[in-house]
Amino acid sequence: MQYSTAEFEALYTRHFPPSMRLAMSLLHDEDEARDVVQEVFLKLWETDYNVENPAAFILRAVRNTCLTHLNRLDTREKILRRLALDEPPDDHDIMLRNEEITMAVKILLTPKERVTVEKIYSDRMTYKETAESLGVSVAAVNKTIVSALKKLRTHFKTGKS
Amino acid sequence: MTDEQKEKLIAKMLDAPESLSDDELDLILHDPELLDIYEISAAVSSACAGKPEIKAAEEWERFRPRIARKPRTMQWIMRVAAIFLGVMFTAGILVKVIDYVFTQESAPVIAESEKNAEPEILIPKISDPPTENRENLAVAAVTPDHAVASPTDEIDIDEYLMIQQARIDNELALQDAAMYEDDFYEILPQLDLTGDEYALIFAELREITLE
Repeated sequence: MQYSTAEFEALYTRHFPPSMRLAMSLLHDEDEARDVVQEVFLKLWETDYNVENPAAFILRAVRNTCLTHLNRLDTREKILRRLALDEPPDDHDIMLRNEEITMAVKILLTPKERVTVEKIYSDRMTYKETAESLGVSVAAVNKTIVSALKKLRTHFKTGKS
Repeated sequence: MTDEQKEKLIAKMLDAPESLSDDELDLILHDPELLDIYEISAAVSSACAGKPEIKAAEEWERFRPRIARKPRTMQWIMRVAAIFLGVMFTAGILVKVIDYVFTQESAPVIAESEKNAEPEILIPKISDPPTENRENLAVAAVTPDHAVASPTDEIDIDEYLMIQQARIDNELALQDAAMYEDDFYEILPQLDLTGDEYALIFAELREITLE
């Protein structure tokens, strides 16, 4: 046990947000991500071992715990949750990749594609809800999304387009 | 697969993956283009999922009860209890070891020759009336001719006790013999025996002692 309650509160409020974002990007489920992050902080609270770099410890522990959760899922469950089928990269690389994708979405896609991607992936709307909000058909939404994804795929496969 | 079929499958994969059949799932996993689209879709999903609005203070209030449930005092109590039990256990072992060592050191040591020797029962030869001091005889009888063993050899404690008991029995027997001898010499003059009768009695006594 190495922290007072006040010290631990400061640690928690500083490191919880990036840990939660990492867990969310891996698990795509807010409640499950919160449970994982809280478990990691609980272990940090209880340990007597002197953790020199709590930030690195927390991120690494969150990633490893998320991987353990992901390994329990079969392929169908992963596709259901839109999870990557391969093992995700290092936590630092995950954050970096997320930034690159966000940047690519802003730069490479047309406004129509960008809005459609945000509604489907950020707002978690269905095709039907997106179509209704944009005043287009479900087929049109699908066409737009596929076009956007193919652009991004080409960009990341070829390096920089 | 036609382009139209592919588009429908992609729509199902991205919008309603729970409705995919096993065959459709298999198709996706074995088609490079479909797999690529799925992977980039999962990556975009990760990038967008990782940006929720997080209120750190609220999250702390939600988390705090979990650490309050495990007070530090309990950890201290458990730590002290564990140390106490460890010390008691170690002390118990030490006491046993010390007791064993000292018991072995205080065990009597007797020579190899005496280990195998049968306990001797010494009877004084009665040929003539005793002239020596009877106490000296008794002391001579119980004191073995050979010296006590050197402390380099060890015998079993049970054997040692048997030997000591035999010595005590021997001493008691000699004391009884001394007493009977006193009685014998006291009544002997009253029998009014002849010289031949005396010789015969002592010859018979000698025979008895030599048996």
